[in-house]
Amino acid sequence: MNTKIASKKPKENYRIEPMRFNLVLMIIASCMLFAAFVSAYIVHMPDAAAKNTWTEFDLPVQFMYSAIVALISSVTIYLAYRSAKSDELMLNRVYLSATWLLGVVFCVLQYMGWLNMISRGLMPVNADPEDISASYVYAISLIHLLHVLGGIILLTVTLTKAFRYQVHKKELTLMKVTHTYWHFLGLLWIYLYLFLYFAG
Amino acid sequence: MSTAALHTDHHHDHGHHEHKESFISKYVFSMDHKMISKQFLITGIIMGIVGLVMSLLFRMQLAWPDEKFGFMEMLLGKWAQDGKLDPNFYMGLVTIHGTIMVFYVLTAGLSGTFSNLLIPLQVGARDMASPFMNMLSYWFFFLSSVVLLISVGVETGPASAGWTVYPPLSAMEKAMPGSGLGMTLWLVAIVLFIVSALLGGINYISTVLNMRTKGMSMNRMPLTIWAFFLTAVLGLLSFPVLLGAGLFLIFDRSFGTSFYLSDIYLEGVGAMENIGGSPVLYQHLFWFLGHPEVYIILMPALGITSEVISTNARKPIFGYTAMVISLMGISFLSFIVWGHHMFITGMNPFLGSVFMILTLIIAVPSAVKVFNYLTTLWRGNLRFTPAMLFSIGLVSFFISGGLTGIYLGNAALDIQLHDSYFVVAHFHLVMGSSAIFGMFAGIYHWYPRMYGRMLNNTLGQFHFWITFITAYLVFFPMHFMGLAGVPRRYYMFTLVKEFDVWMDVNKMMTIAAIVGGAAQLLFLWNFFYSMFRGKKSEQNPWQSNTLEWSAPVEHLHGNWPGAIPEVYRGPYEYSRPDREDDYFPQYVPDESDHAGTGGDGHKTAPKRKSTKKEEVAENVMFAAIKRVFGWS
Repeated sequence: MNTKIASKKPKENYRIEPMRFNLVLMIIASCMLFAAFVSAYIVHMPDAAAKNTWTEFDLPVQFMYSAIVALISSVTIYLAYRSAKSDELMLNRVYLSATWLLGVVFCVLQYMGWLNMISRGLMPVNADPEDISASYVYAISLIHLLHVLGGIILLTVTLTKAFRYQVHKKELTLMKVTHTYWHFLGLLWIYLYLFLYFAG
Repeated sequence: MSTAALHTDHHHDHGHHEHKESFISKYVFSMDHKMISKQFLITGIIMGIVGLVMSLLFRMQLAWPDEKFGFMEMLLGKWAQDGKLDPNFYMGLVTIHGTIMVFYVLTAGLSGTFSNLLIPLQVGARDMASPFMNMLSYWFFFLSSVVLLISVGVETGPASAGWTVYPPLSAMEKAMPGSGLGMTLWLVAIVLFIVSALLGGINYISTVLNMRTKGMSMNRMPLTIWAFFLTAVLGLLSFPVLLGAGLFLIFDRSFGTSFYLSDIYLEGVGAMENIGGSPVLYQHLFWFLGHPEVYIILMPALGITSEVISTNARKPIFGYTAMVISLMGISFLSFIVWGHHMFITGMNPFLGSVFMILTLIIAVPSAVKVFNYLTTLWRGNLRFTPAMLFSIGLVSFFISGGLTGIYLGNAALDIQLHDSYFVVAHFHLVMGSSAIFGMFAGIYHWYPRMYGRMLNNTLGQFHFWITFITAYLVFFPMHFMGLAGVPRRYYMFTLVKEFDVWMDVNKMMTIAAIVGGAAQLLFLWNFFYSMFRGKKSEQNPWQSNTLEWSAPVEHLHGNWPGAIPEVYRGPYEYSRPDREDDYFPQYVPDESDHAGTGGDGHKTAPKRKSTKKEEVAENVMFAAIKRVFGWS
């Protein structure tokens, strides 16, 4: 079955590479998802508080550590991007690996945060009134963690390509996408942490 | 350059080579937007048939509640023992019919088909921004359709809480038979559907903003593209919110949280442990998608209608800019009116009046669109092709259904009419019939572009008239039933003496529905027969101006064999007095056409300045994106 096909991706008329533009749109969609959660929290809280079914509690300290890890990993991913841009391939791999490790540490800290909450009797499933607010913290952090897992998969792909010499100053698209998405994840967690800290 | 010349110019083949495609990569896991559009269309048609048959089954129950139909038992088994439809399954049919029609036919079937077919072809792009994501979008939709259909056959029955699946019925597995596995599968199907819609929508936006051919400035884009683009924006901003609502519902159902549940006593189970939840919270989240969803369904149909009416009236669309601004206005307003679905939830009356005023304002851009359609038709050189008839039918439904929207947008009236047949009449006319007529218009108009053959005109005319008349016969009387207080979603009305008066009307509506349903067989025959035996189409059978008619029909991943054609003017330059032909394609250059025109095709002041301005604005936007995301 012979048919004609464009030999490679057409270069006509791109203002921004489609992959990167699609990422921006995906980030907007993710923001709307978390906006829904945050709005639900804001709307639900006074209503439930009036019925004595909402209790304030301290967020686990591990969540704060997660925020710090997110900040540090933002720096390492930036350094990885900068080193790829200047063709310092070894440095690029080092910083990418560091970011990957920090991503894993972030996940572990989230898990420890949940254990911390459980140890204080704040279960995901409600048995006491305060569990309504705890359910929100579990749900929001879980959905964010799923985003982070997506980010770690992306980092793994980029790292693999970096070791195959496929990330350098002339081939930066994937690096830029990873860089942008990782910053988004970090910023999102910091926002969510501050929101839950002050609102809860 | 003539159209013919443009297509025989194969030797200017830039960047193409012979490439072998297997059956699987060409027809199954295709990344070609044209093939994906056909996949969306065929799947949408199959889902439409399922939804239609379901509606006929429950309409028969309403018309002849005491009759026994042997074929129902054959078809539904234990859900229609002795030929009598089970009340729980009746609710399941209503729920799945609504879900299929709203999401699977009129969202994916309509938008998925025509956005995929037309966006790259009409803006002048080789394919979507990400063909891989586009393929994924279809396959998530397919998987979602399969899961939903499986849910109909599970032991405990399909989801039965209505297409809005309000908790607590949807949040507790033991609330009713349909709240069990059927509901879980419904949620899984919808999550898959949302992923599909987001993958598709992201691609549509990216392609429109990022990949237009030279000369295709925003004010030269066909109204179809504006409609698809704004629809995708609506989906991008609202579907994630439904996803959030669905995830909370899954947590409540499967993990025991209480986002939506509180103080419930279940017969046979006792008092539930859940406290502190708010079912109204779900309604807020659901309708934040639910109302834009109305326009996600309708706007592509409106875009198609603009194109079809202008082409077949041989006139520029009246008020191109006003049409674009109206679409933008409708899109914006659709996000801030969701509360009008919740007037009876006990919301603060002040808040209700805010939602009411905002809702009524939507009548303004909607009326602009209607008047512009009518003025485009006025004194046009009308060609009553089936596509044109379906488009005019859409305008008719949009008016008759839209007017009752003004009633329902009014809180004082809505509180009386809520959950009555008046609401059913309203949305079946303004959203259901309008959008399905837009979809038919699109199929009849672009069938030659999809399959290289023509649909049979006579069958198309019969299809239109029977569908048009029966749609009014089915849905118009529902207004009067609603005004008389007949509630929706009831299994039978024989126990309420006051409703006896509507029995004959119910029978008439059901007979009309059966006739209308049978008329769709004409369409199906026409569609599948013409695919193989239909008259071969000319390159540009409707003498249309837009870019898609310049590309060859045969399978060609990349759309144009040579360079992508440039665009020199707006898409609606029909019957220009300075031209012999009554159309002037966007891609045909004209040395004397120094001024150029805007989308409305009126030759007025030179448009180079506005194009420049627009380019500056676009450049600023893209520069800002690059700056924000640190891309040099």
